[in-house]
Amino acid sequence: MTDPSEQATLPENLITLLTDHLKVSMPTEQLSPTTTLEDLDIDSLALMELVVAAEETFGIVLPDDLLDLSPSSTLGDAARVFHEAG
Amino acid sequence: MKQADIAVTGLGLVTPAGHTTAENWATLCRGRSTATADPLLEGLPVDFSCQVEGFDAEAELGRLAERLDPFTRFAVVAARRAVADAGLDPLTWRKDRIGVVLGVTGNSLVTYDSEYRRLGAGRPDRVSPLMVPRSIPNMAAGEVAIDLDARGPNFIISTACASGATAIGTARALLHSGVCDIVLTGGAESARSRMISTAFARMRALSRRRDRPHLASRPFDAARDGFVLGEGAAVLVLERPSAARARGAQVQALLRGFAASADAHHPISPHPEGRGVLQAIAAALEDGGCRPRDIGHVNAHGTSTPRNDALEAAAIVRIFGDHAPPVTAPKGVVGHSLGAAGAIEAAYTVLALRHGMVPPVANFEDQAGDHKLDIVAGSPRPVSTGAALTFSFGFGGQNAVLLFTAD
Repeated sequence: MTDPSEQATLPENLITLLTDHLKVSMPTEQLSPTTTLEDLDIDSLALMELVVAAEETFGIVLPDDLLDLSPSSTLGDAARVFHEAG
Repeated sequence: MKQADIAVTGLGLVTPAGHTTAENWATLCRGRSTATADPLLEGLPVDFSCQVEGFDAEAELGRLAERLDPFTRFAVVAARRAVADAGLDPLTWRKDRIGVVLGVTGNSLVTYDSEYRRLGAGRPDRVSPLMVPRSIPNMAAGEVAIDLDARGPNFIISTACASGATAIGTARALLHSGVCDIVLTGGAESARSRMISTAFARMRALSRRRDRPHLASRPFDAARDGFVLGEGAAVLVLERPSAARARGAQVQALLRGFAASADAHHPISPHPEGRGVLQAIAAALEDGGCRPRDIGHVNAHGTSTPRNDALEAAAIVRIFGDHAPPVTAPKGVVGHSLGAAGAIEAAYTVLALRHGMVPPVANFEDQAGDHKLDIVAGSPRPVSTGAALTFSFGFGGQNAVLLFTAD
């Protein structure tokens, strides 16, 4: 359901949080909008950490929707939530 | 009936006195307080504490460090150290037979200041979703289980300042009943939060020596004026001696007796005649099959508060008469870490028995009052009798006494 224009790239701050904060093991260049949260071992608790880190690091208040993502959700889905948060 | 002895085969300590047992023992034997000004408590009426310093949580725990509050970080690291010290391998142990029982007084309040501010400012949407998992007290035991894959009974004990000692006594019961083969037990807490300091200061329980924090914690000394907040964790590995011998593990000491009691008297004041305390000491001696004269030293609760130390001294004289053994009180060096204190001091009692030495009480110069104790001061004192009691007394009139022997 992701807009094709969002497919191409992921927000810079999302990538930073995934690599620097959650320390996902997948190399940055392989992270794509189709990568699932499960691929990255991101569970519900890690999503909560992402919410806290987004605010602490970038001042972004993410909507509660982020916590409704499931293991099969993709980084593209997460990116959409980031865009909504502006 | 005399219960079977239980072996202590591993110790793990993270305290203001150090992050290893060797560091803890060395600091304890120097007998100097670790209390210093605390940047976390800046601007408060009591702005100093005994802090775990130089603890690199990220180096110890990796990414886990960030989502754990300090008490859980200390618990997980102390548990890892205790398991390694006991020569146990979590990859091969019988997971469902490994229990974890830790003493923790209450919720970790470290992040509450900022989260309550958000709520108070009408921004519930800004309150951290991690608030619950990082602060609830049972998480110390839960995270230890996750970290070490220990799948047996897992819970915390909350008996205020006696929690760590009550936990160890309860862990021993899990071994006696046959429910567990091994129990990782102890306590974890950080009393370093702005609300804890403020709340205890309002009760007039804390020392006010802001100008000279290193002189503030002085158990049993005539010039004592309150306790000093501390933090840390201690984990002991307990197992049946036969099991320890069968796997070639070194038995560091035996946990021989335990008793717990309630004053059933007052929420925060100890019973004036030490009713619950005397009952617990007598019952622990009986449980361990010992008489008072078998005891080589006492690790006192000794918080450095005027009234509580006086009542404890009276109880010790009442039990031992004119021949009271030497008394030590580690809170002079490491402060009072609330739920962790009883466990840290149980570990110190094991170390004292192993070294045949009783460490000195920091800042002790002189006693006042009718009940004079033989307080170890200045430097460690050698002892030949290999049995010791350690006392822990909490708000609610909750008391716990442990009896250890060298072998």
